[in-house]
Amino acid sequence: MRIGMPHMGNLYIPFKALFQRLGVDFVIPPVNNQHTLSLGVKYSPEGLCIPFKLTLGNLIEAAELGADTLLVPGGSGICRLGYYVTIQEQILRDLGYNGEIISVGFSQHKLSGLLKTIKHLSNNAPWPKIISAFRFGLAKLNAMDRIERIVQKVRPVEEVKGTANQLFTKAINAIDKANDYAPLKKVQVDYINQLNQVTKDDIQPLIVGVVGEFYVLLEPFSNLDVESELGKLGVEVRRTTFISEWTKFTLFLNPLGVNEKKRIHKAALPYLKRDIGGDGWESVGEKVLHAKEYDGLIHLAPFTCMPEIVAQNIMPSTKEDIPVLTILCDEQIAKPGLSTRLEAFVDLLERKRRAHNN
Amino acid sequence: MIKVGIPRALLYYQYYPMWKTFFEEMGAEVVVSPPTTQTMVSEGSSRVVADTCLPVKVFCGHVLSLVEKCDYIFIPAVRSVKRRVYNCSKFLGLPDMTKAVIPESPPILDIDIDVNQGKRKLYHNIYKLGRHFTWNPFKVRQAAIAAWQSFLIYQRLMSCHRLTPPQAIAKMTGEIEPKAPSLTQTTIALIGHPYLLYDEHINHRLIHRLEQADNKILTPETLTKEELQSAIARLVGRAYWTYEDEIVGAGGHYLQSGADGVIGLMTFGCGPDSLMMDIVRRASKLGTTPFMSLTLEEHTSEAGVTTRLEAFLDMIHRRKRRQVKVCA
Amino acid sequence: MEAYLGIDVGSVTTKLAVLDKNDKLVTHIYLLTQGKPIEMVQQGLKQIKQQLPKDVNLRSVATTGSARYLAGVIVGADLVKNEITSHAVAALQYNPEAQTIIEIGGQDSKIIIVRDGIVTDFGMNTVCAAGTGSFLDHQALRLNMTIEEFAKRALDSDTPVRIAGRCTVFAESDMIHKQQMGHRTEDILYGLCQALVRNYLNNVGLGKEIKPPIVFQGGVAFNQAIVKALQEELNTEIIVPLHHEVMGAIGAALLAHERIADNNNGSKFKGFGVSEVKYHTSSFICKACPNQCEIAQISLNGQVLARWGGRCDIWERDPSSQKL
Repeated sequence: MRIGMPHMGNLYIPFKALFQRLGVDFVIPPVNNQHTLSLGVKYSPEGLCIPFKLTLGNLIEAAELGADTLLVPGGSGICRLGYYVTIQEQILRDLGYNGEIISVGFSQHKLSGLLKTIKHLSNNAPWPKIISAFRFGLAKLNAMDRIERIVQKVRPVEEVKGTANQLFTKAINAIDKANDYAPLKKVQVDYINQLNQVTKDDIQPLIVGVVGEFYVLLEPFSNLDVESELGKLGVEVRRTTFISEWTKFTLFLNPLGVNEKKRIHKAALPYLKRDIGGDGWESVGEKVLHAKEYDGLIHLAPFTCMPEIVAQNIMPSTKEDIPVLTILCDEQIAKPGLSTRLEAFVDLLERKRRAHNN
Repeated sequence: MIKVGIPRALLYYQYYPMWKTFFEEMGAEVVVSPPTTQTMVSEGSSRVVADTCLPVKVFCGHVLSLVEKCDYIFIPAVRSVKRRVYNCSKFLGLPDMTKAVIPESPPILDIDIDVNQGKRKLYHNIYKLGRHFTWNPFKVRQAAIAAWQSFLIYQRLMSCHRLTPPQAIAKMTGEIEPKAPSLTQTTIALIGHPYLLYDEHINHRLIHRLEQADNKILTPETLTKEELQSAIARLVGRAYWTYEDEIVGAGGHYLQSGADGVIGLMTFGCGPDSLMMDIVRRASKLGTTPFMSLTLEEHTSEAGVTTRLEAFLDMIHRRKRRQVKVCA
Repeated sequence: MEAYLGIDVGSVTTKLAVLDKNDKLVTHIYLLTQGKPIEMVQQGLKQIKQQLPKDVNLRSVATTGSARYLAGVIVGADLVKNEITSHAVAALQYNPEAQTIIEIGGQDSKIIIVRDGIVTDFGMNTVCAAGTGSFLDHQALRLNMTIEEFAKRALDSDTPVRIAGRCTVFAESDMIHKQQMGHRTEDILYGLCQALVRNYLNNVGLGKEIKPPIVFQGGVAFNQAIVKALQEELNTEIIVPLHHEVMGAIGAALLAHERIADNNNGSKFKGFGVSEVKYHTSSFICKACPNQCEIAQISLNGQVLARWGGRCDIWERDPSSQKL
């Protein structure tokens, strides 16, 4: 059995670790690139969002590399995500793929469902082995996110632009290579030290929150790496959504009744009373909640994403008022256009802060 | 008398008789916005961000036309009417979104409809809605029962008597008797959301045009639940969206039987629509019944619709003619 | 001489074609519409009359194209047909084996799927113009060259540049970006051709089963660079019929002939004299309902011949057309 799955940021690293420990063959399709996108666009029905197109491209490329078991994110919800698997399966079959397609529904079965899927994929490995492999995967995930948070802080203030990103890439590779807890720990400590020692300018960076739909937030290719761009412009990016956080809560804490998003939802209530599917509720809530600490907000949404369109319509009406720049991510989005808009947005925030300080 | 405004858009076509009965039983007067006009579309569009889908823009136009004409506007947040089968986000966000983009709107009456939360919660929500009119829970209960009755009648008029929603509404409100379908040679099935099929403005009078050209029209509402369900089961297995009936179910059914051609209506930028139309399109490839989808948005020109329609009908007629020739 | 006339009035060009009783092309005319469809139809009639023998007997006339109703009223057409059917009929006349017909016109483009000589599916460009000829016209204008020069130079490209963007506006900004990065003009030109082909296939051709033989018609088929790009993208030979630019008109003429075969009524053709008459066009906003439809009307000597543009029937008096 050769397993393949779509990309989302560096999520393949913990999965690779997990499957390696279980002795399962795991294919990693090329990281998202123009070709992946073209493949996705070519075979997707019109009017679909970029997460669909990119993940479809990944699946096709994984199948080309010989994957015979494809994991497709699915599950029930209000957003169209849950329907992906139905169509992606038909498209893959039309292209001649005849392996297995497994829908991984995170939202319904939570931890037990995921573990059961892993058990099935690992050819019925014993539970202790699965749990230990799963824990190791999680450890890698946590290490990556811990480093990324520091990278977000260093990017705007580093003296030599690009240093943090270089260290980040190296760190990700090192985490990928680490084969046990001890080396993993060492990599983490090492790179956190290195990042802390980067020479920094003495400036007070602007703080911009990045909110929006889960996939485009976490897949830099889909948002043209907006976080690095903002970093280059001397802006510190704050993001609540991290895969490690999401995993921690969705898989472990939510079932126990702890809801990390309660604060966000409560903040959104005066403007949006209910969950509208996707991440629309959170987008509104984050704006309200963080209006005081952030200078501005970047709202990322896939083109045609209904929950985010509803959020976008509601956001201007909140009393808690900070500038919001909505960026619609699709295959049309081009770097020159995006940089211009980002620069203008940052200038606006800059001027606003200066006016406020005087 | 309290006046409750109901926008003639989106879920109106599915539930109007039920809503009307409920509010009238509660002692209110129901005001419905007039049929969609260009002014409504432009005014609605001006309130929301450009990427909002056309049906929501139209909805906003209808709400605007009700401003100052009623004391409340009824906008339910319908999440799910069948266990684990969901509605699009826009229906959930509609009450709050309307409030945000049309601040001058009369107070909005909203109600959460989500059968996944169980009957008790649903009843509770209905009582909560009724509180705006009465403190007497029995009166609310009675109104709800009467509303449900008229919903059943409405559905029966459509699926048993094969009436379209506007015809059925006309019959129930006693406006005009629906005309009997004339005998024609070609039968065209239309699939899509009721708010696209029956809004003559959005779809450039599609039904009228087809009838003028001597076609008999079939729609999703004229099918029974069983017919729809078996088609869905065949094409996708378990239904995921509420409106899968209107597209996958009806499309799957008509491609197999009853129609000479199937036309699907969808709006630009609607993800669910494009996914479901894709399933129907794939199914059409396996059979012989022609299928065409029309994508509607504000800038859809009438010429674009008529040209496609003419070509589609030509395709059906020429094919039929060829068959006749071959047989003879 | 017995003959059949087809008139195709598109947004960019006006085409006329005359066939004899054996469906052989007698003569054809190709004019730029220049936003004056009535004048161009009149001029076309005048020109084609000079090319026809004196004893010509036009037994049936059909109009097609986006201005088919207007043209139908002016000439007194026996049949008004949409351009998809016309193109399919014409393509099959010359290439009965064709399975796919690609038509790229000035402002809209089509794909027609044919199996066993019957149209089974078709598609038309939706809202945007990226998969149409106007996409190239626009970029050629931007690069300050004629479309002929554009096509010629594009063929000289050796390493085409990828131009992103489906929409004309986006493609333009990407093209400027590539120019500023110092790419060769030829490579950018061919990159634009590839972009058009890609956009066409991703938009109009989406989900269609494109099988050879493929016939490519419409004015854009003049552009050899596009033919090459299509061939490369579809990896098969592309057939460009000799009279590819007037196929719509030929199709209309064929349909006009077919109509006679079906029911041999006399023609409603108003004669070539039509080209001398002065038509008057005007428009007004209908106030009957809040829809504010813009009603266009065409009249001759103060008498209204036809009106259209309304969302309802009240203004439409158009007995000659078989309008839906």
